[in-house]
Amino acid sequence: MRARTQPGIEDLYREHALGLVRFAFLLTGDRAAAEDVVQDAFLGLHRHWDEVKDPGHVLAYLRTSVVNGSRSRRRRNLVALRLRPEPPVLVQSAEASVLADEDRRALLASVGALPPRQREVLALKYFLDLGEQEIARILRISRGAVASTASRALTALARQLREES
Amino acid sequence: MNSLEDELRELYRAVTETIREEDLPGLFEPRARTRRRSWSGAFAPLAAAVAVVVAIGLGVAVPKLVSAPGRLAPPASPTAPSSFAAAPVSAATSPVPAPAPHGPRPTLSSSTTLPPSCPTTLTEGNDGTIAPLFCSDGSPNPAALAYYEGHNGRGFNPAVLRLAPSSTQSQVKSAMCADIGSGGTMGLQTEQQAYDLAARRNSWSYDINTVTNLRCPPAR
Repeated sequence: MRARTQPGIEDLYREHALGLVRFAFLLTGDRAAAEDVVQDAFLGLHRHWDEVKDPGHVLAYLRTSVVNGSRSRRRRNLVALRLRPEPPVLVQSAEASVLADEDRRALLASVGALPPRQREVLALKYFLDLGEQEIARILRISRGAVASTASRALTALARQLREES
Repeated sequence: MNSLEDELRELYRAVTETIREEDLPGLFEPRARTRRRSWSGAFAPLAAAVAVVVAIGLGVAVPKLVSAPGRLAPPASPTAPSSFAAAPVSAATSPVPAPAPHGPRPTLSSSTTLPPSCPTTLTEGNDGTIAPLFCSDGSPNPAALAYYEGHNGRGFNPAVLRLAPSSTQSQVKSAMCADIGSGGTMGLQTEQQAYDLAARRNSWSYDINTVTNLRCPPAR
């Protein structure tokens, strides 16, 4: 065993890459883009590693980077999507067995139709199981905004699902 | 608990669990490496199918080996499983291109190799680190090697990149300490990249990290 006072970047990658890629996948809907976004996040951390003062905030920094990177990807793809509308990529990417359940398929489509901010909040809250304060720090919005965004998203989902059934 | 919230959790879990840890590239490694790995896996069924065809062909061509219609005689039986076993192994050890969705099936030739992708344009950080360090096949990016071997405006020329492949771990550590010491030109991050390049080129597997475990004697 080697002694260390704080985890290195490689240790952080080993520990958190999978969760971050999965999180990015929920935001981008694209597996390759998700991997790129996470690599970019670690590259950014690597470049500013010397400035890291509180290792406890590193994961929040990475999550914020993933959110920002995913937004950039989305913006870049926006024109292409407008020219050639397609069903949400997440639906195409997920394995058929995962979506065998019709209800789940409908829910996934409804989530994909939400505004980006609402999707981010839902993924942070129900995938990463983060509290409102942590989500607020990652998205750089107020705690109240997190609560209201989550509430609006759930209301919209419930309404959409009711209309479809 | 709200059932919609439960459903969301379950949905996220189901959708994301298709991404597995073993499929992810390493830190700062290109994605192509992951794909190549999965191509080997994708070829296993094809290789098995080839093995079946070969085994059936053998059975037809050597009818004396068949004691009853549709059944292999005892002498032939040991050869059949070995054919099945050998084919997937060759597929797994030979780098082969992905099968085209439409068109002729590629042959499992050992001379068929993927052209590695090596970006010549490097992204340079403020601290002098660069990306990408490696080509898509995992080999050191020549542009990155050239950058660290002195063809840059920063005066880098780390000793760790001038070591022989047979260098020991302590020789490598000494060189790295000299690089990042008071008279050296390298920072911790750039030296780590130089080491990563040298390690890949020389097939070193030393566990050296400038941030976490490289301990250098104090400068005199």
